[in-house]
Amino acid sequence: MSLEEIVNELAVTEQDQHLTFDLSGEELAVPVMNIREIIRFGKLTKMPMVPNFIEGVINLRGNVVPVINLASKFALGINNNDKRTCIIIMEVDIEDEAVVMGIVVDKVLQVIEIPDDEIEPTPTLGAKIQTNFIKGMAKKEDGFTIILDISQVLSAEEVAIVSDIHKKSDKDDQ
Amino acid sequence: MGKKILFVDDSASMRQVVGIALKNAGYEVTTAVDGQDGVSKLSERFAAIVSDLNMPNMNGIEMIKAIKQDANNKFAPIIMLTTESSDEMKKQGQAAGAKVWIVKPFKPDQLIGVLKKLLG
Amino acid sequence: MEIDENIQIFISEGEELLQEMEESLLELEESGNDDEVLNKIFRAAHTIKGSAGLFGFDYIIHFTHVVENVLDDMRNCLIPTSSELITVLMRSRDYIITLLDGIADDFEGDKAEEEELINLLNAFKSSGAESSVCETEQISDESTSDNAATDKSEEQAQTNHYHISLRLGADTFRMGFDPASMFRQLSDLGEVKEAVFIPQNLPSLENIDPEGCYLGWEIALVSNVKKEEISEIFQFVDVSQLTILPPQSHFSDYKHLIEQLPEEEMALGQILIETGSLTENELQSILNEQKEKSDSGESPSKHLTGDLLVENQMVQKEVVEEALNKQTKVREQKQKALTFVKVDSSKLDKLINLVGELVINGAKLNQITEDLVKTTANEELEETMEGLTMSLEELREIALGLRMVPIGMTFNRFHRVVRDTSKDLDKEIKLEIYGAETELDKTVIEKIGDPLMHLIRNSLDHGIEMPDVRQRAGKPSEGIITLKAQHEAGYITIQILDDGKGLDPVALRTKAIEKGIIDESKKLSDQDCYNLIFAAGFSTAEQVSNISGRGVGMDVVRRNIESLRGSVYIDSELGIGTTITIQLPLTLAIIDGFNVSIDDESYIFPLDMIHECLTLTPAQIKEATVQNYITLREDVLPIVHLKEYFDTNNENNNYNTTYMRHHDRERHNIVVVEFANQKIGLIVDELLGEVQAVIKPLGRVFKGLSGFAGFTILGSGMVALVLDIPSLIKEVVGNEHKYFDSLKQKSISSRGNRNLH
Repeated sequence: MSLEEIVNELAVTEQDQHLTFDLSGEELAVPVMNIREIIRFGKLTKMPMVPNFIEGVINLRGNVVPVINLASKFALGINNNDKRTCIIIMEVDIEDEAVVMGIVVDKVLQVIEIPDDEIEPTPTLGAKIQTNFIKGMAKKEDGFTIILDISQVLSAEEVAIVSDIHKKSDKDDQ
Repeated sequence: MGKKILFVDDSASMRQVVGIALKNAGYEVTTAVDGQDGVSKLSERFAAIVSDLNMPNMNGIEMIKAIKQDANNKFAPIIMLTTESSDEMKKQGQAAGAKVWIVKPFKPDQLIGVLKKLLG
Repeated sequence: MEIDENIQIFISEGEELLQEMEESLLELEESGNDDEVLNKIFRAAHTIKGSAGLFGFDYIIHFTHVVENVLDDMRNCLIPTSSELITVLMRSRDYIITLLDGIADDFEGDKAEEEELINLLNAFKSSGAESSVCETEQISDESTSDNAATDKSEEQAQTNHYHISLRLGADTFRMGFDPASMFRQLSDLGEVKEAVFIPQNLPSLENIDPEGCYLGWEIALVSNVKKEEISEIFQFVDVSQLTILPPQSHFSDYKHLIEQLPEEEMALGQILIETGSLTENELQSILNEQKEKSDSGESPSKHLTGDLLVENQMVQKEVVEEALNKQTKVREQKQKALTFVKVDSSKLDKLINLVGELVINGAKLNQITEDLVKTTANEELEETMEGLTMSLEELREIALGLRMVPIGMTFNRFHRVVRDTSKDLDKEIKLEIYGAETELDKTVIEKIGDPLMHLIRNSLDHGIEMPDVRQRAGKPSEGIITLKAQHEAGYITIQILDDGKGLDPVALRTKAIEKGIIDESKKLSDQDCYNLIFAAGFSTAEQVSNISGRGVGMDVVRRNIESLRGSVYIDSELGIGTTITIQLPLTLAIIDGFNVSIDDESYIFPLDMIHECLTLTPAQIKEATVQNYITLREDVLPIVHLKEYFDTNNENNNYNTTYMRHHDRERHNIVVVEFANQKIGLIVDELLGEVQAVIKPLGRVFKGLSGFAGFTILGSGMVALVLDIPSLIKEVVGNEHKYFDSLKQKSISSRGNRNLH
């Protein structure tokens, strides 16, 4: 499925719809509900003094949007950066505040329908990704698709990490 | 076109709410923020003038006196808006030429009722 | 309740009126009965009551009605003004505010509070004697006096000029004053139509003091200015007698003038005719009336006291002129505000955002044009672009100006706090305000109120001593808290000064050690000790007084100020007082910036913080590679390699190599920035030139990142970080151990003690 086709399909947003993507060889999915748009990976501005999972920031039509590198966050190793690398722009509610962020993915795969009752609970073992970021798993022909709990991935503690670094240095002073 | 009413009050919410009510009742409303402003609007001829008494710059009594000097509007009926606590003002208002007074607080319908009686 | 547009107007109008009411109540307490002020207070209650009726808020009508009645009685001189009454009125005013605030939540007020207030108000009402309590009742407002003017002296003179009666003091010349300059100033204000010299005071030749001044004039000045503006001219003049009568003054005023002047009545009368201030008939009627009065055997003493009263009032008027002047200005501003258009502030923000976008795209367009013009000369394009750039700049200025609000309104609110609190504490405290006209970004103004309130409460509570303590210390029993605002390059400074007991650095240090905030071994300068107050956990537990101990520590104050990209410093002298200085950025929206690159990324310096940009000499480069300062024009300039500073603060240095090519270029460009008298040099890769930067907030994710004011979008469309120099300096100095340790460099002792204050 081409990127354009996927974008077209995104126009129909339904609760059950999920976008699957490839990240360092893992197949992951996020709810379409949270997706604002998908853009091609381009030049972004690096940020000094931030945790390494923050890839940088981009200008999205005049708005500055932070971009998260999930591969780095989940310690999946370095992702392949090629023409198919995309940034999925997502909107997440964090403490009642709508935060817009981008996540870098190696390749957008497809939009699939995963009804809630088909999502199986996360096995405690076997997943490479920390289980608290996972909403569940969905069966597919050749294994599982991991559905990310996007509000957890970009949860309050996670975004506050930047402030923590700052606080840590504050404490060091005293 | 509806009859022209001059509504003078230093309170913006009064002007807004009463203004809308009068318009809805079919009148054409000009508003003024105080006596001075009211006097400056007298180049037009009004069917009636409704005014607060206690206002900054020029109070209602002074304004009535000015209206009574104005060729365009000296015969326009004047309705004063006043509180029950200012009897003295009321007397002065009448002496100056106000026809009717309405005691604040009032509902716009009361004013419209009075206007209908006065203007038919 | 659903708040529709009309109710919103009612609420904001009510809040405005109540703000005025508070100011007027304070004014009333200060100056005693003043018809105009009283009337204003009355009108506030009256208008709110009236408007509340439109929306059926009967409970608001019910309460404001009681307040209005008391105020009406005060106006009619049935109840005397007293401090207690003003306190009750203040509380009532506060209560009405809670009623307005409560509309949205259908909260109809605390009935117990309401009942108490109503009882208090009614107590004043019933205690009011039937007879008048005002001394000047007979001089009632002309507009309300319906009996025809019987007193001829109430009539007005027909002149349309100011009459100025002036007798210079004997020391005028000795004080180096030249009367000619006074006339020049007068002619600046209008036309000096007549100036009649009064020679009567000249002594005979043998008694004359050659350096003394015996001059006096009666002057007719045609001018539209305010009386205060005229009296300002004489502010620094040694004047033995000065009366300024506005155009169309009452006869009585002329009468008083004539009686007051040392010269003979008839002669003065003639002069008044000469200056055209009075006609012969007018003078005659004044003099006749005077004669009649003395003939009719009216008790001379009574006459005298009556006149004295008025005269006293006049004298007082002159004395408080300066104070009034300020109030007049505030009042003028308010009156002007009435003619302004009220705009929903979100519309304003939208406009500013849009202007921001325009500025960004303008910069982009400008870049494209410049590149284009290089290859194909197109004068028309170049000129058009220039014009567009100029208009954009102007548009930006205007748009930003829309957000600027004078801080005076915020400052004035503290009069009330100081009044109430000093009463509660049995202290005598005066609040002085300077720089009320200083303008600040609307958002900053909105957010600075709480920190200021806290700091002022702190000064009231802990700074200023009890009157007897002050007297024993040889200070005046009345303490002074000063609020000051002023512009500095790119920043606004707000200071809170008190002449209280000051801070004891030793005690502060001990307390900080007790609380485990600092280590016992830690050496601190006095300044560092003062700033401990702002440390988390320092100021919460022990402050149990109900003034400042509201569970909010000074650390919260500091954080609030820092969230506005500001900073706060404290200075003190034991026994003398304490000064707290808050520095705030002028605007939050758009700045003139200077673009530099570090590792191929752009960073923007606020232009007004840049002292200079330098290219290092080979000797300085050498210096810079081995130590953290360079010698610049015989001075030592601390330097920071920004690239290394950024990297050492990065959690993970070996990451990012995928997208980041490492540059081993020689860095020899240095930007010298200055803030709070501290200069540091920041080493960067390239100097790219000036840009206009629309600052976008760091946002949820990066809000904890210190050293940066926000993002901006460059003409190229790329995002760049805007450096926040004050916090960067603080951060660098604060982190210097960490920073320099990691560089495996010796810390230079001269810098170790350096601080920012």
